[in-house]
Amino acid sequence: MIRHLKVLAIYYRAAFLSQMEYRANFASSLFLSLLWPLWVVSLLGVFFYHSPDLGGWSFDEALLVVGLYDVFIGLQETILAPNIGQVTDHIRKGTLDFVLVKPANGQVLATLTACNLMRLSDVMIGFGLIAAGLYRMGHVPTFMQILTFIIMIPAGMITMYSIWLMATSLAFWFVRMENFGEIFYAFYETGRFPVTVYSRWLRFVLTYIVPVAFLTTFPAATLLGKLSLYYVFGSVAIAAILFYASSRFWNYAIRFYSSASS
Amino acid sequence: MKKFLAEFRASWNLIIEYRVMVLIWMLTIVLPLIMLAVWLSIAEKGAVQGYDRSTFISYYLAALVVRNFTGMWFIWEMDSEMRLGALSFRLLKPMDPIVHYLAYACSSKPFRVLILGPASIVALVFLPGLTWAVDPLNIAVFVVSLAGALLILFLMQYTIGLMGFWITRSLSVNDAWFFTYSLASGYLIPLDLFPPGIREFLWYLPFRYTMSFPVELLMGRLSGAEILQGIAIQWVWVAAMYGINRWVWRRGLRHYSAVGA
Repeated sequence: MIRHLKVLAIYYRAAFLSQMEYRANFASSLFLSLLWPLWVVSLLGVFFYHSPDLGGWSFDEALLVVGLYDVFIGLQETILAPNIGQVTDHIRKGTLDFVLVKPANGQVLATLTACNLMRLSDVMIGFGLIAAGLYRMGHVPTFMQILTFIIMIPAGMITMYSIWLMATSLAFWFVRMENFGEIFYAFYETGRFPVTVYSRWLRFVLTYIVPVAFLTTFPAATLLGKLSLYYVFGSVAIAAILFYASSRFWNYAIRFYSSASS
Repeated sequence: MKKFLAEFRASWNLIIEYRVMVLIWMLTIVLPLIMLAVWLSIAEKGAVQGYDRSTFISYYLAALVVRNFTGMWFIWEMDSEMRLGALSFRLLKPMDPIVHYLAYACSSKPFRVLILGPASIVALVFLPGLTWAVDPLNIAVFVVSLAGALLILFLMQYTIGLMGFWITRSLSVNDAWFFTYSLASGYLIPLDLFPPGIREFLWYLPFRYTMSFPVELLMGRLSGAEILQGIAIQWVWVAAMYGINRWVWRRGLRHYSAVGA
């Protein structure tokens, strides 16, 4: 575990150094990230102009949900999206060998080493929106609320990674897999709003089948003290099960890899 | 016209090759549907300014139809051609590149008609609450308004693409533009539901005529006078955008040759 982290740290430092050379890119991505809160607040503003609540959530509470959506979009664009691009390229061109023969865990090297640090700006903006919501409510989370919140964020991240990993593993059979990711992304879009706003069957799908609710709605609820501990354990359990299943699937799928040379 | 048709056919062949991708891409235009789901939950407690359940469903389905007929992303191709210098070859051809890009942008549309035409008929038959005005005259005016919407969007995107003559990040400008468009055109929220002052303001911007106007037309929400006025304003915007575009094009070309291509 420590060894994996050390390897990743080296890759990320190299990425950081090379990406810092393109400051204009960072400026323009920061500019776009700043547009997002403006955009989403106007969207919410129109809803709340017609309705006092959104599925039982007030405007300030809903800010926490959109903030978390932005945090996860940022993390996804920072780590997941670049790796998916990289690994599907490797599979298509048959160059995955060069990654697999390196003396470290193949899954870590193939699916975690790329990163796009520009998009960390979204993560910062997301936490800013969460802070703004809490400040407007005058709500100071208790130690327990903060602790459960901190547990649910990495659990959500691992859940997302596992879903992406399973989708990416399919690339060993079907070469063009970019669009499959888009389908998950479609579900993820629902995370912009509290899950309680959707109809019963959609809420069921988003909680138990594509667990988007565990990424945005539930962490926001736990920070407000609106969630039972049962869901916190649930989010850890889902992350663990999906991580185990997706790693097994990756290791199975890789046997179907056909290289360009060997 | 003959040139246009030749370019059109070439791009259309490319689209056919990737039809599965196009299909999936069309299925994933989900954000309006999510907005619809949220509105439906709000409308359960009573109609929102005259918008009830079936009005919302009719609105967002119409918005998806309009988006599919008018949406385009040729700016990605434009960006890479300008940065890699392929534009120089295009300039050697005996026609203005605008013809090529317009053909490229339109080439996916017949495919959309093939898919969305039958899909709309199915929707009309199986969703009796769908309030679309489908008499021949209204459909004819709707098609005219779609053409105007497509041209406004095309000229906007082409003009943003031309900014690539001066800046390297025209794609970021386009992203920022898309944020604005999605809100100000009525794609995500019906313009009727904006607070009064903002709604009137949006009435005068070109965005309304790229989405909300054709949608309202298809839903039969506009009177005869409003339709004529809308079409007039829309085509004034088309002319204005064309004027701006030609001006930027001439300035950009001078700049481009000054750099040495």
